[in-house]
Amino acid sequence: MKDKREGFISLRNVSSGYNKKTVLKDISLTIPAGKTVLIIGENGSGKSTLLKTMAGLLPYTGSVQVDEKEMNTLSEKERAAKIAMLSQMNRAYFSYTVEETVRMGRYRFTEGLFASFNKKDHEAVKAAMEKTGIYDIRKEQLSSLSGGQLQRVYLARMFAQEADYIFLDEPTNHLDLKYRVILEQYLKKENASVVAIYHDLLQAFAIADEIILLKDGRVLKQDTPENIINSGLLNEAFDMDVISYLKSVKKESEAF
Amino acid sequence: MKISKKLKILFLIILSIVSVSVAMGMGSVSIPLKEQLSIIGNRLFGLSTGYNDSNATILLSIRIPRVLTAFFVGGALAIAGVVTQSILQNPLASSYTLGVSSGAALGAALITVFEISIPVLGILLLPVGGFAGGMLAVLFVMLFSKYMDNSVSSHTIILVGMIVSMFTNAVITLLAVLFSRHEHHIISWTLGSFNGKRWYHALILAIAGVIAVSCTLYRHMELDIMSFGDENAKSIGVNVSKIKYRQLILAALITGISVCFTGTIGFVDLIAPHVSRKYMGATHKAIIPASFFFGGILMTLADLFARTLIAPLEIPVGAVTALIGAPFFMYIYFNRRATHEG
Repeated sequence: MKDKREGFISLRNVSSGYNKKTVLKDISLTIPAGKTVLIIGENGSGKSTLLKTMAGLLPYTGSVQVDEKEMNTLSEKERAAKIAMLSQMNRAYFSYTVEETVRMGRYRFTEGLFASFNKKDHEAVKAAMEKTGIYDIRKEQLSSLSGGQLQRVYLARMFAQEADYIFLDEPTNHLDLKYRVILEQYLKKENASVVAIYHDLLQAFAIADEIILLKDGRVLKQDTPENIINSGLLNEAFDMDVISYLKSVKKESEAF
Repeated sequence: MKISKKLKILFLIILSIVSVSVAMGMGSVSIPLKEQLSIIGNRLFGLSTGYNDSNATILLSIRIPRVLTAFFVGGALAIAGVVTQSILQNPLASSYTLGVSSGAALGAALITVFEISIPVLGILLLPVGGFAGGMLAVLFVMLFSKYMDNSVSSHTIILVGMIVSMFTNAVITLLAVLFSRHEHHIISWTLGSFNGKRWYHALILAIAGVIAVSCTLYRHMELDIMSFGDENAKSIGVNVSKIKYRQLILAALITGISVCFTGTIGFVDLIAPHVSRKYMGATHKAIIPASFFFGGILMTLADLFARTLIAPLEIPVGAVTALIGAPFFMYIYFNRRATHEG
């Protein structure tokens, strides 16, 4: 069961993008806490830009509020307490160990000169590693891990951050089926509020409480999965007959 | 930090003392450790023990300032290398990537060829000119990167830095050809030397080294996190733009202070952080002190080779670091890649 946590992220007339290129155009939407909201749309529709803008990682015009506080008035650590994000841009250039990497998620709790981590931090790091099945490889260097193991390390780092909202950009990339299932169960059951970009539409419809359908930097529709499917807007968003495709995939999977 | 890492740092400190002492003992006249200790003991505590007076003069006015300057320049450059590599998320970046050294070399070359003289500055004119050139180059790299790319990504900084370095190097070559009378001077400046360094050089660079180590250790956690890229660091809660600028400016300043007194000396800032990461792991809490000592040891030994290998002639120390550094770097880099891909 999802909790009944109060709060929401709201965007009012938000435009944002990179350098001089505007990607999101005048977007207004509200994401309630305690729900799993998935963003879908074709390549270049602005999914990642929307996620980064909501996470406060991109400059924007308009208003982005998280729990009624304007995003760009929050300090970096305050923002990290609200939102933790698993980005797609994860490359390890230096050989940190798994544990050292996960521990970085606790940065927002550190204070003062030459700060270091305390017992509570170490416990949270251990819990995050156990949850993602990487506790046994905690001493390994990142450079020796597979893509899926690395993705779990970054997931663990994000969990260790213990933020109110969790943002995921293509979280199932490289993940083995086993951990994909665990992650999807987490998305369905945990108390955290989740906003994620998902490529697998069938899975997206199965997991989501709400879906945001994006096209050319604008929100076509935000609604429950059923209403999105029934709206007929999917075909417009993806420039193809999505419904027929999904039906055929579903039929094939039911053959098992 | 774990005990094993602390022991490793202790080992590096001992190794630093040994290499500094060996370097102080070797040269045109050999001054063994026992005599070194007698001379220093006499000057510090007035102990009267037997030593040769001329050796004392050589040790106190030539060797010690020179060796200590080399040690601290090596340490400071290594710290600048650590910072630039983390912030630009590129293990091949160095403070030279920011254009500091080529800018400094151009500043010094301009003063040399136009025979500029500012009486107030006296002998400090060349270092001050070099420092100003280095800082101007960095400023240009940063502002131009900002103009090209609002988010000032690491790739933009590296690319702009490379272009600025290449351009300034071309101008330096042109100056050397046009003003052939000064060619030797310009070339020797671009290869660096610790010849004739005094106590005040060692003191200034020791201060720069201590400041570099403390300012970076103070931000060790942020440097760790920022090596995963700006976006990740921001979402973890690091004030990326503030720390990025401050740490890069710090790297530019310490490089500027180092090269303005000694000329440009490459590779130490690239190699010391690499070796430290291999030896200590990746966390900055460990690699900052380790790189400082490694850099110091490398530079001390490079300078020792430079002045003793074909004595009485002296090889420019920059040539020694490049001669040893280039193949060594290739070995560690490709060795690393081979283990990663294997």
